[in-house]
Amino acid sequence: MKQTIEWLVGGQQGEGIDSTGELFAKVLVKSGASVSTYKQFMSRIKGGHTNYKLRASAEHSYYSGEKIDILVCLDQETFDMHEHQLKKGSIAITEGEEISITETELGFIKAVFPLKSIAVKLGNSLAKNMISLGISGSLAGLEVSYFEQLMEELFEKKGEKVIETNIKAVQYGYELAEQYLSTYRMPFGEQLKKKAMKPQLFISGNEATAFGSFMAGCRYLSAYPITPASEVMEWLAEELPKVGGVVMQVEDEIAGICFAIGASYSGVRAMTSTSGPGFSLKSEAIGMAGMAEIPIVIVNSQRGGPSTGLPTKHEQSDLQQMIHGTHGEIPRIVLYPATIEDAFYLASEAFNLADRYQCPVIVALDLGMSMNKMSVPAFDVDRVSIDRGKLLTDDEASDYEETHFKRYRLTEDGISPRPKPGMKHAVHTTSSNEHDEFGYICEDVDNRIKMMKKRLEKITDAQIQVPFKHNPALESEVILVGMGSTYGAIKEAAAQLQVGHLHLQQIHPLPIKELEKIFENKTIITVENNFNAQLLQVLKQGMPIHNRSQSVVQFDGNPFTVETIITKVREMM
Amino acid sequence: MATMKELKGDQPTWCPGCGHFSIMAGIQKSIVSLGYEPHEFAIVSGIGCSGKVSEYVRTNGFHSIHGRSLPVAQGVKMGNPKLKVIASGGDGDGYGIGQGHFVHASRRNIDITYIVMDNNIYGLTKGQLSPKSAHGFVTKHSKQGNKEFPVDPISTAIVNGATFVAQGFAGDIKQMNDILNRAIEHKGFSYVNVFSPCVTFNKINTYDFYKTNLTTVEKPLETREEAVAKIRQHESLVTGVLYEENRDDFQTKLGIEFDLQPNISGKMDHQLYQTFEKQFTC
Ligand SMILES: Cc1ncc(C[n+]2csc(CCOP(=O)(O)OP(=O)(O)O)c2C)c(N)n1
Ligand code: SF4
Repeated sequence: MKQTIEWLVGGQQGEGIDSTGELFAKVLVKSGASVSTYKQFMSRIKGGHTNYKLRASAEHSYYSGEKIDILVCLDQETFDMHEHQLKKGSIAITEGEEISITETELGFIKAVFPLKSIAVKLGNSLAKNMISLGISGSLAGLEVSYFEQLMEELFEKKGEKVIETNIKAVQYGYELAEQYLSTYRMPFGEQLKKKAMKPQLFISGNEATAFGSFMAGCRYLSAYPITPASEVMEWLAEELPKVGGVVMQVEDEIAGICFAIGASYSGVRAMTSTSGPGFSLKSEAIGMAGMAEIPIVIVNSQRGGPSTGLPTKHEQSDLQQMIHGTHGEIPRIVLYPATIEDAFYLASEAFNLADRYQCPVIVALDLGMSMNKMSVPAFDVDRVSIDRGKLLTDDEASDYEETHFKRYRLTEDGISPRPKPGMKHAVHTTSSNEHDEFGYICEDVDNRIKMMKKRLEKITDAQIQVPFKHNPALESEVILVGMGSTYGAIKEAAAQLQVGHLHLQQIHPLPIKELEKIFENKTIITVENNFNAQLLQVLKQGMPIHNRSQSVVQFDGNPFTVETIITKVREMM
Repeated sequence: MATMKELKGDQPTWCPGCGHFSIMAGIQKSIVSLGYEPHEFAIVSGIGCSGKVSEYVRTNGFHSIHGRSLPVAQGVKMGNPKLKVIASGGDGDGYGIGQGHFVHASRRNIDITYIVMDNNIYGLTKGQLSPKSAHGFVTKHSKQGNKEFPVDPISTAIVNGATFVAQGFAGDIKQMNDILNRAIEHKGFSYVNVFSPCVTFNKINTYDFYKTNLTTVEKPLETREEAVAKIRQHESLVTGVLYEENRDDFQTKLGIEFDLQPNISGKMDHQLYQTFEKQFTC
C-alpha cells in the first residue's frame, strides 16, 4: 500500500490554481491524510506560471516532498517544468485534442484529455480544474463524497447551480479515470478510513500565528501590507472586531509598530506584522520599545525582499537582523516556530513573554511557513495560559501611594511593576532616552549602569515551553540543526542519514545550558536558507563549537529537498 | 481638578527665554482651566528640545522617538479611548521626519490634539535648517541661504481633512491658551502650530518679528478653500482658529464597541477557541 502521495497542479496565475490545490488538499485531509503543501508564485497577479504542490501521507509528516505521483498540467509550462520530478508509475494529466494514454520512455504515464472541450460541454469552461481533480481523486482512491461535501460548503454562497456543475465535473473526472486509467490507480485513500473520523485543522503558518495571538488576548494590530505576512493582518482584520478588537492598516511600517507600541503602553495586548524590508524600517521603534520597556510582539515573515532578493521566494536571512537590528543595545526575545502547530503556541507565548519581560518579542516565520498550509491536530488551549506579568490593577497601583509613579523602579528581577496611563494613582513618565526610576532623562553614570543592567539582564532566564525540538540519534556523532519551515525536510533527511536533529524555536536568548549538553562531543551541521549560515554564527557566538561545526546553506529561493540535504551532509561526513 | 503645582514635572533644561516654556505652561493651564486631573492625560512627544515637554508636564508622559509622536499618540488613544491624548513635537520632528504621519493623522481624524512647537529651526541639534525655515534663511550650515521653500503645514492639514486647525504664538499667551482649550475639547484630530522663538539659534523669527508680522483671524473660515486662501494671503503668518468642522472621529466611524483593555491573566477561553476553530476544520 502506498504510504504517501505527491501531487502538483500548475497553470497560469489567475486560473484558480490555488483554490484547486487547496480543494484537493482539503479532500485529502477529510479523507484522513496528513497533508503538507507548498505554493510557488511570481511577483505579479495575473499571468506567469504558478503551482500548488502537496504531499499527503498516512502518518503525520511536515514535508511537502520533491517527487510527483500525479501531475496536473493546466498549461504546457507545468509539464516542461516538472517532468523531471516524475518517475516510474507517475501519471501526468495534460490537455490535448484527443484522449490518449501512453507510457513514456522514462516510465511515467502521460494521459491526454480534452479537458477544455469537456468543460465547455458541461457548461463551464473553468470546470477543467474540477475534472482534473476528479481524475486525481479517483487515481488516489479517495471517496467522491468528500468532494461533494466540500463543494457544498465552498460554493454555498454561489448557489445550487454552481455547486451542481462543479460536482458534475468532478464526477466526470472520476468516470474518465475509471474508464481510461483504472490499471494505474494508486490505492492510497483506502488505508486512511479510520483516521478520517478525527477532524483535523488545515491551516497556514500565518493563520496559526494570527489565531494564537487572538487566543492570547491580542486585541490590536497595526501594520502595513507585505507578502508573505499580510495574511496575519487579514485574518485578524476579519476576526478581531467580533471580540472588540481592531486592526489598522496604517501609512507605513514605522507607523505600524508605533501605533502598536502606543496601544500596548495603554495596556492592550498589541502586535504588528511584517516581512524583512518592513522589519528594517521598524528598527528604531523596536529600540524604543526595548528602552521604554513596553511589551510588543512583532511577527516577521522572512523572504528574499526587494533590495536584497527574490521578493516572492523563501529565505531565512533576517536572523541576525532580528537578534541585533536597531542601534544600541536593548533586551528582546526572538522565537521561531518549527511547525505550523508551534506557530499557534509560540505566538501565544510571545505575548506572555512580552508582558512578563516588558520588551519586544519577535516571532520569526518564513515564507515556507507563512503561506503554506498543513493539516494539524486541533490546538490545545490549556497548554498556554494568559500571563500579563507585572501589569498593575488600579488598586495595586494606588497601594504605592506615589504622586509620580516610579515606572522604572529597580527591582530584584529587573522588572518594574507597570501601571497603565489613566490610573488615578499612577501618573508616570515613560521614556526612550536613558532615564531614572521616574522615567526622567538622566545622564548620571551610576544610573546608566544600573538601568542598562536592569534592562539587559532581565531576559537572561526567559524560556518558552519547548525552546527546541530534539530527535536524538544516540549512535551518531552528527546532529543537524535547523529552524522554521525546514523542519519536515531536515527531520526526514536526519532519519534517513541516521543522525540527530535539533530544531531551534528560541533563538534569542539561546537556551545555552541545554544546548551545550546536547551538542557535547557532537559535530553540528546547521541547515539553513541563507548565504552566511546565520544560524551557525549565532550558535558559535553562544558556544565553543568552532572546530566541529559546519553548515548546509541554500539561498536560491527554493525550500530544501530531503535529497539535497542528504547529499550535502554525506559530502561532509 | 489639577493645580499648576501638581502639573509640575522634571526641571526644564531649555534656554532661558525659549518659547517652549510658554507652550508648556499653556498646556498646564489648559488642563487646570478645563478641570481635568493629571492622570486623565497622556502627552506623547518626539525628540528635540520640544520633545522634553512630556517630562516637564506631570501627566502621563511618553518621550518617544524623532518624528513619531503622532503614530504613538494615536495608538495610545486607540488603546484607551478614555484618555485625553496630546501629541507634541518640533517643526523638524513633525514636518521633516514625521511629515508623512502628519498628513495621515489629518485624514484619519483620531481624537487627539497635536501641538507643534515651531521655531523654524532645529534646536537640539544646534541650529540647522528646518523644513519651516524661510527660502533664503541663513544658518551656519547654509551660509548661502536656504535653497528650498518652506513647507506649509497649516494648509497641508486643512487640505488633508483635519477637523481643527489653528495657529498660535508663544508670545501671546492669552490667545494661545484660548486656542489650546478649544483644541483639547475638539472631538477629532485637532492641530495647533505654535510659533515658538528659539532664542539661541534663530535670529530672524524672534518675538519682535512675530509681534510685527502676525495677523489674527477672529473666527474660523467657512470653507477649507477660504482658509487656505487666507493662509496664503498672509504667507502663513496668521494666528487664531483657522478651520473647524464637526466630523465623526475615527473610533466613532469604526462603529464597534471597543473592548481592548480587559484582558487579564488566566486561562484561554475554550468557548472562544471552539467558535473560531471551526473555519479551519476539515
Ligand atoms: C532618527 C533621528 N534622526 C535624527 C535625530 C537627531 N535630532 C534630534 S532633535 C532633531 C531636530 C529637532 O528639531 P525640532 O523638531 O524642530 O525641535 P527643536 O529642538 O527645535 O525644539 C534632530 C534632527 C534623531 N534624534 N533621530
Ligand atoms: S536651543 Fe532653542 S529651542 Fe532649544 S531650548 Fe534653546 S532656545 Fe529653546
